[in-house]
Amino acid sequence: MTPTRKRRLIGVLVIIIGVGAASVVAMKALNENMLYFWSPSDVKEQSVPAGKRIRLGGLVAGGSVSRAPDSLEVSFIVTDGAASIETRFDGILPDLFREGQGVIAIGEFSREGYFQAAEVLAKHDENYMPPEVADALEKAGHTESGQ
Amino acid sequence: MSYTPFILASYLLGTVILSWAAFAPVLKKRTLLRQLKARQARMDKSQ
Amino acid sequence: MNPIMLFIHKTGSPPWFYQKTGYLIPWLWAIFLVLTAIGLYLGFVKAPVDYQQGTTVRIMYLHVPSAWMSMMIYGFMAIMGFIALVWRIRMLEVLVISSAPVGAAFTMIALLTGSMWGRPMWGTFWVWDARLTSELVLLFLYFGVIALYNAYDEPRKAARAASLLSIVGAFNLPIIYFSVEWWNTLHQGSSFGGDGPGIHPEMLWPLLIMATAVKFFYGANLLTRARLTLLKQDHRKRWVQDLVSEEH
Repeated sequence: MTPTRKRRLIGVLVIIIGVGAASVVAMKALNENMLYFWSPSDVKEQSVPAGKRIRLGGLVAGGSVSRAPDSLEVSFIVTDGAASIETRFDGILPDLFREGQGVIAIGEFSREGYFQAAEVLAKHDENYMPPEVADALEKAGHTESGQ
Repeated sequence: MSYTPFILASYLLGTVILSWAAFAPVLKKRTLLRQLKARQARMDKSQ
Repeated sequence: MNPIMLFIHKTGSPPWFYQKTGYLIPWLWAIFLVLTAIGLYLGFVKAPVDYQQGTTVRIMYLHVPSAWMSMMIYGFMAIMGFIALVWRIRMLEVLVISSAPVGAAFTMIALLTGSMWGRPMWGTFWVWDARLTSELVLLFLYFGVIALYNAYDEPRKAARAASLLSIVGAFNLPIIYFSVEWWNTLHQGSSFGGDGPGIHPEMLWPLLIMATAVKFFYGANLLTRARLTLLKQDHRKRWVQDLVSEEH
């Protein structure tokens, strides 16, 4: 094969692979991931069957976090204000996990009705400020929930 | 968790990629000019 | 001839462009370096840590300017590509294909630093949410433009095909920008123009200075690459031969 033809062949192949990869990625996103998570209200409305893997997103309700004394097991309530879902997780939580913080729990509903998370991700907001400013804002009555 | 490795890794990756972007065309140009100069020398000889 | 046409004809002349940008490029590099030094000093020494994210907020000073550049450069390519296709202006074709590697570099930095930021804060290096996925598609589009240009033998034809892909791919830009509003994403929304306090001024200044600095990087790098592309395309032309014999 002449070098010119080889170069053309490689070029065309790269395009095919590139466009192919891009479309696969786009399809993957369009199919199930464009809505990255369900809110508790979505879940209540659509009655997700037990065992179906979903992503549940919302705020950790204040005062709802309870940790088992002898293991990593933790339970908390994920809420969006309108609906609340009891969630359990056995593993290491991200540093940003705290009451009032936005979280995304990946897992499935158990037969007993609570949400068993296999993975918990923390979501943070678009506001950046030093701690003193955050304290002052909180005193002034702004809620500093991480959504 | 210490955050320092993540910050260092970010800026290291940034430096490596930007350096590559900046120096690759300079090196390529140097090679190209050398080739063109060699070609010119050959042509001058054959004339 | 009116002044606009005169300017286009002058800048469209490769020897003129090659010579003038040769003087301009060192200045662009100098401004980039000075601004980067100021931005990093403000960002790492002066700026406070974030109330939630601690020191990881310092990744923002590289991540956000790179992400903005990744979109801005593609937007430029689409606009220049359109003009180049309609009016057949060779200099713009050269600028389109010389922009693509710079844009790809910034897109890679945005993705990688985002990953380095996501792991400690979100708890994951990567998720397939709409923002991250559409930014990855942008990287593939840049690769596509570069590969398409290299696939042709005839540079003018190649540049036209690459310009066309730039225009088509520009539909991804609003998707990236609005992804955080249109869909539920793990990535947070924009810090600008919302109801919240946004970014505290002491963090905003280093961010804006770094964002300005990378624009000078783009300028310097783009012109360097454009000069190389001109030399390659014109290597049999008189002006390049004169240039080669002048250098020693």
